[in-house]
Amino acid sequence: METVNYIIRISPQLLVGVIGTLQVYFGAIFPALVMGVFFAIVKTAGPKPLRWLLNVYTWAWRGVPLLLQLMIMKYGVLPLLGGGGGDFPGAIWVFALNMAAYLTEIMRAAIGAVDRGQYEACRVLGIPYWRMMFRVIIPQSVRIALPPACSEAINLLKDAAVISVISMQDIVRVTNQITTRDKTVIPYLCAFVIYLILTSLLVKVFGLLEKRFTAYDA
Amino acid sequence: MGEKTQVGAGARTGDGARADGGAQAGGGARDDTAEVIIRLTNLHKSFGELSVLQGVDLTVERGQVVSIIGPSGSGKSTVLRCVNGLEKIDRGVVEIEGVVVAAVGTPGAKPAPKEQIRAVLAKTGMVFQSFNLFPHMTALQNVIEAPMTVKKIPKARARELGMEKLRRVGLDDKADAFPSRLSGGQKQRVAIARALAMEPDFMLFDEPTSALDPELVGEVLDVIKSLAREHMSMMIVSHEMGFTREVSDRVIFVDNQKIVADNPPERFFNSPEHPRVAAFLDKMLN
Amino acid sequence: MAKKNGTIVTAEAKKTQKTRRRVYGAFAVLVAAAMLLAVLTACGGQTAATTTQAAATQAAATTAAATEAATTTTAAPVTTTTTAAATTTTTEAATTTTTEAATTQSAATLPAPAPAADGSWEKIQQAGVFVLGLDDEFPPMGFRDEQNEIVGFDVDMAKAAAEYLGVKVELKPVIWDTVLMSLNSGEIDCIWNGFSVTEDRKKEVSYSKSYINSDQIVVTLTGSDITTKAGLAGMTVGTQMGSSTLDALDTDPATRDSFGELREYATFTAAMMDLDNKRLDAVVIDSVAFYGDFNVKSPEAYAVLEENFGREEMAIGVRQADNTWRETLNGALDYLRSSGKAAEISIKWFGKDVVIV
Repeated sequence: METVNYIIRISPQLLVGVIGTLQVYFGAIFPALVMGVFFAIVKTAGPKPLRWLLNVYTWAWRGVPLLLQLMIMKYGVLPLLGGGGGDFPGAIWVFALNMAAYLTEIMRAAIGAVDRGQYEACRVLGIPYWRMMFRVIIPQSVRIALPPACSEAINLLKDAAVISVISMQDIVRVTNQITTRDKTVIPYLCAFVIYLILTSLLVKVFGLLEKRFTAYDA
Repeated sequence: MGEKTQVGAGARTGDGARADGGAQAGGGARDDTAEVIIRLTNLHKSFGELSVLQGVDLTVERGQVVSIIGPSGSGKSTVLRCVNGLEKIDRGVVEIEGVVVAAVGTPGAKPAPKEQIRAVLAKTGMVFQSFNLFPHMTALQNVIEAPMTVKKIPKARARELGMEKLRRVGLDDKADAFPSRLSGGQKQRVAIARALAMEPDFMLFDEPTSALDPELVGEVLDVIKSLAREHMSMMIVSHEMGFTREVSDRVIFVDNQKIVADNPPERFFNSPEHPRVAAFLDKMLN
Repeated sequence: MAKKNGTIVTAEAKKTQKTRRRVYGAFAVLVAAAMLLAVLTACGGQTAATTTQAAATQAAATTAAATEAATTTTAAPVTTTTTAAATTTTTEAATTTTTEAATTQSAATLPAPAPAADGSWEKIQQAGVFVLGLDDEFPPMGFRDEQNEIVGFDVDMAKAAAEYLGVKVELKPVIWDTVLMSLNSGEIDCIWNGFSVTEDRKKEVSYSKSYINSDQIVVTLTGSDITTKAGLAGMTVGTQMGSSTLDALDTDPATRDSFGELREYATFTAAMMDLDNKRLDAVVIDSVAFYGDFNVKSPEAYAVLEENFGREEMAIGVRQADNTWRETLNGALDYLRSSGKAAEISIKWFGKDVVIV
């Protein structure tokens, strides 16, 4: 079928887009997770000036559209750094910091949601503070934070499409390029399917994670 | 002070020398020296506007079981929580094994250095009304977490110790169960094993059975009774009158922010002095 | 005691613990990898786009020296400014010090004084590469082929010019909305992507010679009743938003206001697709875009009105301060004409020679 042939022909290009999207995704999500947990702990137990700083950080990074953050990165920050590492690493950092802001708040709320009794039990058992945080509190708060965090993680895949606006090649941009060149909507259908496959995979993975982390529930 | 008469903990079986089931006069006539293990002096505690304790004095000797009973909200639990520092006192002195762990607004009394306080608090164990088990760890892991972390006992040895304690409370077959799979009574017994794993010199029980279904209460009380038989020093806040009568050396009644009665169980239950005590007992037992 | 309960639970417990440990472990590894990647990319610098073969750098160096010498001795008001380096791709002799292709009699066309020796071309020569900013979604001037390479009419012209100048060209997709900012911030060295010459833009950039015309034409489906601008009255007309076409429509407000509806699309393609679907009656479009792209793909499908909304020229945009660079580019354009390369490229993309240099 002609359509199938056409799809095969444009696959290499679509692949470029998929790789672009995934690069941004994985490059951003892992640092974001680490930062999210770390900042949440600092927000819970750190010195006041640091906590204040982090409040400003989450306020700014959750309060401004992602696209604007990317533009500021590209036209404000990168030139200051003399080009830095280029657009791509810059975009990854923006995504990471943006996502981390959300994760920080999610994690902080989760830590706060852990029952006070847990703290008291550790106290009377003599377990020191940081040991308590890492062995008792954080594992429980991860469990609480998992559903909203997974939600954010899945959204990140779709949010990554915003880089198409700043002329970086992700799935959406590549699809636009193909369509503009070939005057057909088939690329859009391909992109649609690709996204569904990717998000379904993510949902599955996070579902498994959630199941394992809640295995000890009633 | 108070050296190593490790009361209660250890591999001894539960049948100790307490033939009479605990109705003894306070302070003396026992094999260990009558040594004051907890001393509260002029304790004051308020929560904001609400004054809960106004000048509470109390001593507990090693090997004694002291029960605190009284109406809800009377400050029973507060007394307990002031002992091990879960609540900060507003005035007064708290001493554990001779070490001043808290002193506020009392000339001549000053808290001991932090390490000393920490050392002596490490020898106190506590069991909570809502168990407070770590839900993401198995029963055994719950029990051995503190010994490994705080006492740096290596894992293998800790597991042995943990199994021993679980056996002590009759739950060695549930070692790898998560708390969510245990009944309330089992959870509380694991909590007791967890506290015992730190080999405490005395234990605090904050309404240990109040959150349990009636049919599960018995198994927990049995464990506590067996600890009493082994001469574990304890302070127990409870609503279980029969149990209190059976296990205590002294029964204390808190009312109107003070201690209004402090008697051996015979006296307390059969011929209460204070009218409030009488009224309370009347209500409870009828 | 019956161990049965215990063993089942054990397996579960172990699984959870194992999963947790595995997750934390994998996590740590991936974080480390991600950070390593970030560091490496930062050190590696920008990912270069398509480049062309470099000519003899030695020749380039010597010609640079020659250019310097020539420009510094501007005693007489009219000097033969040796703008373009005379390097040909095949380095015959290194003695190409003489500005052979001193084709540009720029001095003759420009009023005295000769353009200031601002070093812009020299800088590019030294770097060995110039950065060309484009929208990689604009057929036929610059777009991506099926191998995701950037191709197009302007791309071919630029590559040929680069070869002639003895430097490489780096194709950099930029955000078209902020392309002027990209140029003036130094992110790119020139805008070469069907860049129309307008008075407004002249305030912010300077242009090379115009190299191609583009008319703002009206396209309909073959067999449409519309044959004149008057016939557009009451019709649904589409065009690309933010394009110079819109500006061209402003020059004929009467006609524009007579439209039934003027719809703006993200791309000409989107507009043309709606025309195909008969959702539009006509599209106003760059003739360059039309003849180089849509007409090539479907030559019988469309009809073009005789009347149009004006003629535009397209040229290369450079920073206003970069005089020697601009002159260099002009020289290159002249070369492309004289060597026949421009015609060749034009025929490849448009079917005929439409280059006006």
